[in-house]
Amino acid sequence: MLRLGILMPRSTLFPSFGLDILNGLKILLKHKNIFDDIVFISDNIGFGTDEQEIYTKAEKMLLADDADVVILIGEARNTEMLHPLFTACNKILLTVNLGATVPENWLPQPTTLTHSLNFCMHASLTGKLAAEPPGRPVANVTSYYDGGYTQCFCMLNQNQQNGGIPLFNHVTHLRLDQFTLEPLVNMLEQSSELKTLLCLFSGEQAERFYEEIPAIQKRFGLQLFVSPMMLEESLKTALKESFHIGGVTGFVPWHASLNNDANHLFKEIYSGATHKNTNYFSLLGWETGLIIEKIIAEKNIGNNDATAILKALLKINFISPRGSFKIDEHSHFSYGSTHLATCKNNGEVVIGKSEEEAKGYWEVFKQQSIPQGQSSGWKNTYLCI
Amino acid sequence: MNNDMKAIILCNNPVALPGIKEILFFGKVAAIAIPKRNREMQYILAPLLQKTRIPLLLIDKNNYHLQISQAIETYAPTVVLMMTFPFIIPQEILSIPKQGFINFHYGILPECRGPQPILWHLLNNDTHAGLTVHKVDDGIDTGDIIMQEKIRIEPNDTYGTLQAKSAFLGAKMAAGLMKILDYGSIVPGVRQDKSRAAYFNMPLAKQLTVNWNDMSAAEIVRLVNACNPWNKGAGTIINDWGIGLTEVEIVGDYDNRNVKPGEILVCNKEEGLIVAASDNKKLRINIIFTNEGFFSGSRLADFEVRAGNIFG
Repeated sequence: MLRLGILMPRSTLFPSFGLDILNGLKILLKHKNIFDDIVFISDNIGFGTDEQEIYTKAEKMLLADDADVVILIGEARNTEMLHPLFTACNKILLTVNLGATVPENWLPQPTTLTHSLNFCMHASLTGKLAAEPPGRPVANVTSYYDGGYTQCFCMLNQNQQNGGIPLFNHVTHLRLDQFTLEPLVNMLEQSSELKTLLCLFSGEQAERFYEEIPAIQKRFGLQLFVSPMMLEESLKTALKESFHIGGVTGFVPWHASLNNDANHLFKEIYSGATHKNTNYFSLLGWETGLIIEKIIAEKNIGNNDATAILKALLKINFISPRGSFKIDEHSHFSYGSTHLATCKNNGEVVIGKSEEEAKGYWEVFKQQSIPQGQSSGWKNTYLCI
Repeated sequence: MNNDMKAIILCNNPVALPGIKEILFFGKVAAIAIPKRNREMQYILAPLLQKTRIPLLLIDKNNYHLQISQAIETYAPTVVLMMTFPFIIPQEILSIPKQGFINFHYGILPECRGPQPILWHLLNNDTHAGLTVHKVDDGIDTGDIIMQEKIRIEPNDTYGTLQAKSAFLGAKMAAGLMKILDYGSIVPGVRQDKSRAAYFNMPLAKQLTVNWNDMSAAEIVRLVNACNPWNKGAGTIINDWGIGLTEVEIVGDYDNRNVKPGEILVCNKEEGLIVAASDNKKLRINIIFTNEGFFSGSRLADFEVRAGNIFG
């Protein structure tokens, strides 16, 4: 039996955040017939920002509950303090997140891995794309919250590195009732050459943005380059008929419309079990289950050494709904497929260029300079608002 | 927060300062102790501690066992943090604080034990330096490792730049350690792999001197960088005159087989001071140290040094 600890945050921005991840994980494990081989030990870590709470609960899972593996849904930066504990106990720490922040360094730890949807890498690719042809002026349009995630920096930085010229930053108010795009409109009226927007929103702010931008887009002939969360299918579901935007482009790790066997299986099994659509969170849980499956397989052949199990995981090409993903031996972060998604005028997302493995760009991305020191005070992603 | 957690810091070298400042930020320091002879640290720490009311204890080398025992008795710390502290702590004291003694070793363990790890990482041509935080036991740098991070050594890194990088890494790791000590019920640690262990003592003068016949140009650059700034330069002799090489760089190849290693190829203001290394590489000596001062390499011409003279 595998004793699996799960430290789960809650989210006011996406109330189903934790549940969707947990469902994705458990449904995959049931589908693989290994659910009954696992003892689940779960605990809540609030909004994932209280370091003491995270530490003491993780320590309890190791020392009192004797967990073999602890899944911690949170940012890699918040879990760095746990590395010595897990290394000393020779247990696996599996940090799971959407990848909207990056660690302070990419150095691998012997028994720690981070499974991520690499939002920062995809935002970085989108920023790069938006710079073509070089010299194109751009405006950065984001919310008070989303602007604090490192993916905002990644998108802007790669845009500038590749010749984009930022003319304007538009950051919407933290309160939805004070949301306005008026300053952006004023800027567009003054700068006729400004036709490109780098957009980063999530949740309610993304919905409001998509409600208000179509008229502005039409008036000024704008092209929108957006973050992965803005191409998520749940937005279309939430906005219903008011989602009729086109001219929206961005790189995404996954989309429900991807045509591959693993994605079809994921949607069929997940929706069948929950009567809900798949999303990034359920995908994250499903893929985490794929990693747990391999850990159990290693234990079943007598490998009980966390460091050795992690080394074995590094050799696996995981086939998943997004295509595939691997765990990078030089950072112990997962990285996987990338897809260029475009929104047609009816709001339908079409997947264009896909790369099964963004290996080349992953290496470039890791080398890109991340601002040193405290670049953002945001300690979690998509949890509280 | 673990309200019981309380630390005494034992330190000596300014490399520890960023780490100390980070630890002070947590508000859990009962006292800081430094060797009495270290005036520099007294001048730096006294004003820093004045605002905090944390006492600065001056430790006498001849009486340090007793003074440290008394400090532990007075302040009852749960942990003693050692950062470049030069004196060996007696075994009977080590187990008194609940969380033990913990040392910040500014090098990679177990591969680089001993008192000058930054220097030896450079002299040994290592790819990485680093910082290891470990429990203190009865050996020197032999205790269980709590955490370790590495720093890649860049071609232009000197002892000074690497020390600065290590110091700031110390701040980051100090913050991590404080969380572990404050939040955790145990101090985690992993036993050192003895098969990889090596101990390096203080270097001999010979080890800090350029051997023109045996050393490649790259090795000379490393040695010079390892001696900059603390030794003012790597030692060498020209025309029976001992000087230090403070900054050198490789500037190309030479193909004259009659040239001897250490021979000066050029010494003038326009081209600088160019010397032949044993592997057919040309080294430009940019900065030298003499008892008369620091000079550009070409200034040796003012001291009757000419092309054809040989370093050795």
